[in-house]
Amino acid sequence: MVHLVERIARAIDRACAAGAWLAAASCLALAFLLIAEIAATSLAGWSQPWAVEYSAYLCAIALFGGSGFALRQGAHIRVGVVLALVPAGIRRPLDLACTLAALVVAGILCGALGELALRSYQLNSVSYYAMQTPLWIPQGALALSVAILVLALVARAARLAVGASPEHPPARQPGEGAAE
Amino acid sequence: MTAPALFLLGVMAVALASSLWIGFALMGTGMVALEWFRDVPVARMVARDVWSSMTGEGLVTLPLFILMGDILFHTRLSESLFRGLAPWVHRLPGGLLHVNVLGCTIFAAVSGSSAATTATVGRMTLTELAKRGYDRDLAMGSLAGAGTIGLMIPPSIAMIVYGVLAEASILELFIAGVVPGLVLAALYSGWIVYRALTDPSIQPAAGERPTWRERLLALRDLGPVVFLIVAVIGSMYAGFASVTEAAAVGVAGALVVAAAQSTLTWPNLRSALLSTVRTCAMIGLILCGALFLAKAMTLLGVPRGVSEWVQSLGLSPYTLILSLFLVYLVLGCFLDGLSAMVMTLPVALPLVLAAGFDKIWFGIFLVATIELSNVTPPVGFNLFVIQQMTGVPQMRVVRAALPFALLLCVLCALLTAFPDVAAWLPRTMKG
Repeated sequence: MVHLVERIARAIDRACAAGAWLAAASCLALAFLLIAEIAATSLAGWSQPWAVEYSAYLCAIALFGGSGFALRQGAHIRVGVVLALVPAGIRRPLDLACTLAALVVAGILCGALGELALRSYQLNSVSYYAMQTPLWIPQGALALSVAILVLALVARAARLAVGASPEHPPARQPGEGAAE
Repeated sequence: MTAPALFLLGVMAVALASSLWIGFALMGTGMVALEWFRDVPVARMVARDVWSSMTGEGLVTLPLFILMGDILFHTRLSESLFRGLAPWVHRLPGGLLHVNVLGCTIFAAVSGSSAATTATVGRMTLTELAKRGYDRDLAMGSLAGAGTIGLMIPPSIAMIVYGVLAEASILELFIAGVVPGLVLAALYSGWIVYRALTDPSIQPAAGERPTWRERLLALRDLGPVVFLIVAVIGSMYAGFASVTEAAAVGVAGALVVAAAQSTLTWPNLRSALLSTVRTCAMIGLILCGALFLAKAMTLLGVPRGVSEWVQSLGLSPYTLILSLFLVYLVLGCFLDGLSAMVMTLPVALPLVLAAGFDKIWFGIFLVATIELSNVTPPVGFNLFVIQQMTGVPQMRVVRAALPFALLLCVLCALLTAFPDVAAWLPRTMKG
């Protein structure tokens, strides 16, 4: 049982890593897209008709693609005081309850985003930008990113349930990856 | 309105106290409250809200400035800053301690975060200062304090988040942060000078006076940082680039600096990218939770209700700001500053605007309170960073940082008494 859970959780870890690389690639693509835009507007007097629109989509993927990966690495913020203070016997059930609550929220979000993308597909909705991008593509990508987060929460809950370690924080230098 | 407000407060308190992730807690609270009090298709609303807020224009700068900082984190800027600044501050009372303040102020202009600024500058100064016999506590304290300038001097991640939440101009926030950042640096340097004059034992006997030739040669070491500052800020002011595009220039510039210092290796780049992804994901989740909760609160009439209630108390504007300051001080003990800001903003912003304060001004004030939460225990990121770097017990770092935390309070008071500290530069630049 434990073995099976770990195997499934590992597969989910790989999906999370893939999501993280997708987010990283989006980040780099975003930078290149905007540099190209500066060059195009100031040198050639021409603006890429897709620059504003695609940068928004790339940004959304950069912000959400790595969410599952961030969960596995313990990067999402929570108030850790209570979890640190309660006796060890309560810590795991409490953490499991939190993970399940988060799973409900993320599940609703994921389902609704999927539905949004599906409706855009059925109605052939396109963006109001010049490119008239079919909206289901970026919306589907966002739904997929959140789906990876949902999977990561499932893996986390399963690991907690069988007594495995839920997080795998990377070795980091002090101050690396700080937001504040 | 009382029922929804109390309900929201209750659900949120329970969710946070049971250590649910903050982003999920905010979003979940919004969902539950809307489901309970209003007959609306909640799930569909969440999806639309997350889709439109995460593809919003202001957010695009966020991943870019984070990536820029993460790439620079792996370069040797720390060493260059130290070598470039040391000969210039050598003879000042307090000597090389000023490298902490000046180094952080300069690095702040290319970094959006205060913990990263602390770590980058401190990597070099902490050991060098200890080696030369400077007072350990003053070295750690001034670093913890000066690191917070990273949030105030643009670019600033906290300002981007505030701008998105408050629908304020990010460029204007950036400009407004410059003078308060410099004032803060002056306060810190002033304190170091005062300490050095009253207690000569905090610094070693001054060695040889550096020659002007040495000083000018040292400027070469500041080249990479100056190049980056000019590239980012210059491209904005010269009109080549918007804030968003300037952020992309920053990423390119950081890559150039890394390549020039031959630190652009695959392990470094990989580590920078993954660290960016983690930070982005962390902020993304909190932001979309906060934005949805703000929308839910507005639908339930909570901000208006709280505004009316506070107005009925007849507080003076200054009492209001003081009370908010105290609220943030207390919240800062449980939460990181960014989370405290995003959670309270839907209610706090209407209050402050109704009291006649400016949106940009309040953004700067909030950034100052976030800075304060970074140097106050138990959740102070700068303190963690220094503790990890030195291995000194936490209480000693806290004590060392205390005078500098008080100077931050002085900055908050100055901002409130003289709003022009923040408002003057944007007004002047608008013409």
